[in-house]
Amino acid sequence: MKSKTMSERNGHGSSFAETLTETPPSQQNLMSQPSPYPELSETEVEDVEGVTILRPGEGDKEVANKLETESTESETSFEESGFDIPLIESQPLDALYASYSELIPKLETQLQEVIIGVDNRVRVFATTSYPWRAVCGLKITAKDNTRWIGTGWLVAPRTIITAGHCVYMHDHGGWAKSIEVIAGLNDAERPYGSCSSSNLRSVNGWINSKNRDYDYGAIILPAGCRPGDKTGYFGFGVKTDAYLMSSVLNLSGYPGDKGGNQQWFMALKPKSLTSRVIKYDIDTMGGQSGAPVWVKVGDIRTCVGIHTNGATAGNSATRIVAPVFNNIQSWKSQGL
Amino acid sequence: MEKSGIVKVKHGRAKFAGIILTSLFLLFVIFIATRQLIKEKKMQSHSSIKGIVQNNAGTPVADAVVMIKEGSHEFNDIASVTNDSGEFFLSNIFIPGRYVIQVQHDSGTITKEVNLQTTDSIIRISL
Repeated sequence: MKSKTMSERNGHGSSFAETLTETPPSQQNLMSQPSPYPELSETEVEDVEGVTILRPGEGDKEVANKLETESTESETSFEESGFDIPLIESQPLDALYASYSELIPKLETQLQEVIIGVDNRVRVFATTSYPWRAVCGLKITAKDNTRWIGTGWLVAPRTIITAGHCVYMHDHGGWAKSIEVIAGLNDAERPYGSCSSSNLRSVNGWINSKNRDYDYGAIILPAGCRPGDKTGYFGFGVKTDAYLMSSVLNLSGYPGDKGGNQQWFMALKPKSLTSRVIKYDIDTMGGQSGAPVWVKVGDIRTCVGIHTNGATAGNSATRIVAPVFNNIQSWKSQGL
Repeated sequence: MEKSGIVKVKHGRAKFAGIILTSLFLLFVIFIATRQLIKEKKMQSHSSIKGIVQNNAGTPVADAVVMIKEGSHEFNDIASVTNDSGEFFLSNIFIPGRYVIQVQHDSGTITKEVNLQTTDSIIRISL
């Protein structure tokens, strides 16, 4: 049985995380400890106690399409919820490199520019192995009945995190009419079935301001649909600039140029950071919006961003910062 | 003395009128500039652009996956799926802008570069 609990904070600001480890399930608050930025070859799990942050800005105020949903304005302290999912198996990321040795050099050196015309993604065939099975293909039907393809990732048995523009489309009627979530989708194979939901979440900064910095949201599946019980789910956390810039970012999703039913993966160090955005030269295509961007240290996988945008100057993710963390944690609690 | 007083009054009125006219002119210039800015702002916006995918015979192609491959501006990495009328949308893209669109379908893949100038542009792609 796997459980979560990892957090960290260093002297440059708050840093906390909710990740998968081999430790027993526990309910505990997070506290970060002053420490140097860890190297990728090291695995650190900080002692956790609790942490207090400032109330997030209005931009991160949650907006739900279900009026009956309870308010999830973040609390002044973080509370780690329990994690009690029996993982069927755990396959470290390194297993992929065993199959795709050509990826290894790319992990060691950061590409300086996007090379248009060269596709550096590799296909993930083992979508029933962790963490790939926790990545979900999304079939989105907007309010105006237009259809779209996106990606999401499980953070709880019934909670999927994705891009804000996958759940709320300003030019297509607002909240999506319905989103079908397919964990571990692999061509025609749906190893964990699929579920549809119209119970969606995003934040004020995206819904009312269409601000790219707030482009994130969530899908809460119906009570009877709990794919995360079988797949496990990602951890997530806030990392400092220095930590992120020294880390290899992993990104896996369902690109439309491959039909939207195959999972494709690539890893690279980030290109640049802002307070709310992570930029990288990881190759992506339409359909990968909402894909997890995570850091792996040992067996600990911590999502640090939600892929949202493509651009010649660098593709990018909405960075998980404290207010984003608060909302994801709140949405997670709604899908336990 | 009396004449001098009249001249002073007239001179004062002329000066006042000049100030009024100058102020009105400046207000007019500001008004025109603001209108122009608003007009340009309307032309430069994030919009959803419609497109249609057809085969060589002109028949609409359903279930094709359409996405932006490259763009002169940042774009959302979401893919659109054509409906029975072959219609798709590029959501939340910046206009004006140049974009390379890729269409993925069972019958093949095609890319097309489009230069979108207005929000009412319609993209037509033949497979």
